[in-house]
Amino acid sequence: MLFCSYEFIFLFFPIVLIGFYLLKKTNHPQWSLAWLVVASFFFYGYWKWSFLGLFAFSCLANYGLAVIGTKAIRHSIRTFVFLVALAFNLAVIFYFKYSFFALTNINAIFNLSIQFDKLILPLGISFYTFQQIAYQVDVYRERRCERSLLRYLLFVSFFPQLIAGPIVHHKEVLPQFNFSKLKSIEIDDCIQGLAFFSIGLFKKVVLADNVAHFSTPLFSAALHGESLAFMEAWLAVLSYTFQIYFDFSGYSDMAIGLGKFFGITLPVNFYSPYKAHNVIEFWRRWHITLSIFLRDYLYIPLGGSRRGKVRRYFNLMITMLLGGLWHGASWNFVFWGILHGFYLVVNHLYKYVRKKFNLNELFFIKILSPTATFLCVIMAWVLFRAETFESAMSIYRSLVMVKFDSPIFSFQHLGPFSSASEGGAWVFVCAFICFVLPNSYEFIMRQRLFDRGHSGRVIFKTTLLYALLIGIILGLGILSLSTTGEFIYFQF
Amino acid sequence: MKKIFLIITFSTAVSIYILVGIFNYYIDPFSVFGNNKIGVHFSSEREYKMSGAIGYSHDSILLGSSKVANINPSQIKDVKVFNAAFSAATPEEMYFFINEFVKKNEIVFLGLDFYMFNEFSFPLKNKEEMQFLNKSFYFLLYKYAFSLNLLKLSLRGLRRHLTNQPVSIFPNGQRNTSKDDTLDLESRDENYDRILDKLKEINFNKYKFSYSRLEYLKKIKMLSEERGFRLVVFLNPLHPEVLNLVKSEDLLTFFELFLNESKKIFPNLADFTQGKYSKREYFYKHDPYHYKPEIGARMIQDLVLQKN
Repeated sequence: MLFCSYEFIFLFFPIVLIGFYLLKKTNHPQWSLAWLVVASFFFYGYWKWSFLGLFAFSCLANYGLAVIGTKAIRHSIRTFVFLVALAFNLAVIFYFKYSFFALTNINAIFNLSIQFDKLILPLGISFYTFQQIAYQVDVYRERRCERSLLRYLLFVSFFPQLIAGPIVHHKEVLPQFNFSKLKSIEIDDCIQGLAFFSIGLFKKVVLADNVAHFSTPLFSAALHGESLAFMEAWLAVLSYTFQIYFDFSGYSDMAIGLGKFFGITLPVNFYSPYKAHNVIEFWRRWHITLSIFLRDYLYIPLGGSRRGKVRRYFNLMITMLLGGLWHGASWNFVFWGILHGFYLVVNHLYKYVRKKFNLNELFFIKILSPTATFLCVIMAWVLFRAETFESAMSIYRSLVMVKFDSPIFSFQHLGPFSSASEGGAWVFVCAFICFVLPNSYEFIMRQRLFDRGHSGRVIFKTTLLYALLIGIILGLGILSLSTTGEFIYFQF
Repeated sequence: MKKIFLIITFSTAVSIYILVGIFNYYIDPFSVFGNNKIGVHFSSEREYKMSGAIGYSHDSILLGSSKVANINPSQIKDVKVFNAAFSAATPEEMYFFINEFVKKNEIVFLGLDFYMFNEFSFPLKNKEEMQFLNKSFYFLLYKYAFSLNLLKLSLRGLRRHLTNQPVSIFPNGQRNTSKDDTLDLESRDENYDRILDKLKEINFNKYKFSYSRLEYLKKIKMLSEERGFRLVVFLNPLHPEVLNLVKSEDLLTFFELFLNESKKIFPNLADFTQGKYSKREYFYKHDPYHYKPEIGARMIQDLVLQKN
């Protein structure tokens, strides 16, 4: 079930919310948590009932292994249980997500013909598996686990974050599934929730879906071997750059908003990433919960920056490569990860050289760095979006106009129903929102995570003006439900 | 204030929602509700043809590509025809259409084209892509009215109506060809080669013959037998130079495959690809791909007479 669907907005969510508040008022407030678990499992199963069993099994197995591991007295048994839990999670994700890719490559390398059908990827498997891996690692390290099955199930299955994140850390949310906290949900939470949800819905169905009308046909033309004109290629990559941002950050905003209605604060996942001044900062602003996960459970265990410069850069490359692979089983994602790893290495080297020789940042570098960062990021999106390496290369060629005989301003691949001027207008609107306006977190929560790149004057208040603004945004969002598409991050 | 904030927010959202719905319902740019008073100004034929097939009284239906969509059905005698053809139509779309809208004892005039079997340029579609054909039609009508995209079209349609711009589609389903007629008067013969090259580039540069679409033709035939409607199938006339183009070395095999397979499925098929309706002067000068509407009407009239 999509957040931006009639059935979710007009049926599922109101029923779950009313049920939750009614049960919360009874003498058994834990029923409200049980109600949320049931609703979350229903939400998951609504997509494909056949995968509900796998999801439930994954939750129960992880819960059971964590309890067993914690109770074990001998360290070796604890380690064994932890390794079983880790292997179980990795095996599940490998089987569903990477086995086809692995076998295709093995067949190609060793000239074999092992037959294996591509499996349907269970929805949200990357998200809930990673959450549980993090949980298992911390249980092993700290010898403490969640005893309540109900709370554990809710931690993994809580429907706002279940299928496309944010990747929540158990330490952030488990303490919130607390009866006394749930009792004290205030109207402020609901107002913030409504504001987040409305903005997220608008981002997805109005901005991302409209700008997608320009990226989709152009990337598709490149996939079918067509050579895009110079301006077409730029329209394609800019459209996709904004599409993926508004799509995914819109989903995250909706998730945060929905969580707020139940008194649960989910972590911020996007913080104006395109305002970043360098790629290191970009990754602190883009898919923040994934970056934190990769840092805490991959980069640091690999040694982080503690084992010298060369090892640090190697660790960065490995982390980003696996981060790329997390997005999907394809070489394009691997190359996308490697490219970002390369950007990060260059960025760290530059910082190191500046520090070592005590150099001040040159004025023009300061001025140009946000643009350069943005350019690096959009160049990498080509690899991310193009379905084949050949089509990505074809788009790169068009972007730099390698074919001098090809037309510059032709837009023949846009199709009969889209005009280049409309595409340009959408890109302009999206760019304005990205670069000039505050992000939803700054706007609603009035909190700043970074000193620069904020637009502090525009902040949310419970005034008539903002009530009308949010109402209009919500109304326009709901009016666009009829033509909405799936979220990009559902496939991961 | 906080409760008032929530009330105002929800009231604003609901008001916008309802106002847009009411506005779209009354303007009805594709005449889905039958309320359209300003004419259909858009070339989104697929949507209109489906609603038109319900609202326009008829006993026969014309189906096919844009060539057929140009035909004025009111010029055809003895039958009351609704022109349900739309540009770049494919066999699967026509099958879904027939399955949904054609009733017993009706007559379906089905015009086929060679391009329709090029799966490379015209990828195979599934039913979900044709949302107006979905079973939950009434729910989709509700989606249609309460839509921001439709608001855009309602406003654009209203503006076109107020500035006296011509409609795109007439109530009987015929495309408004006045623009083509004007262009034709201004056209020059020397542009032919360039136009033909463009045509080849769009439709035939890469050709992948679609066997799945032959299956859809078979399904249409089966449906006609099961449901009891009459099926009159014809191959559209081709301009002599377009015929030469499709008989060129790289396309000839596919073209013959198209002719032979179509004739196998429909033994009584009327093949107009060459012959009395394929004279050079019967086609637009600026667009040798499309025959003129009056030629199409004569051709269908011939088929009606043969049927009788």
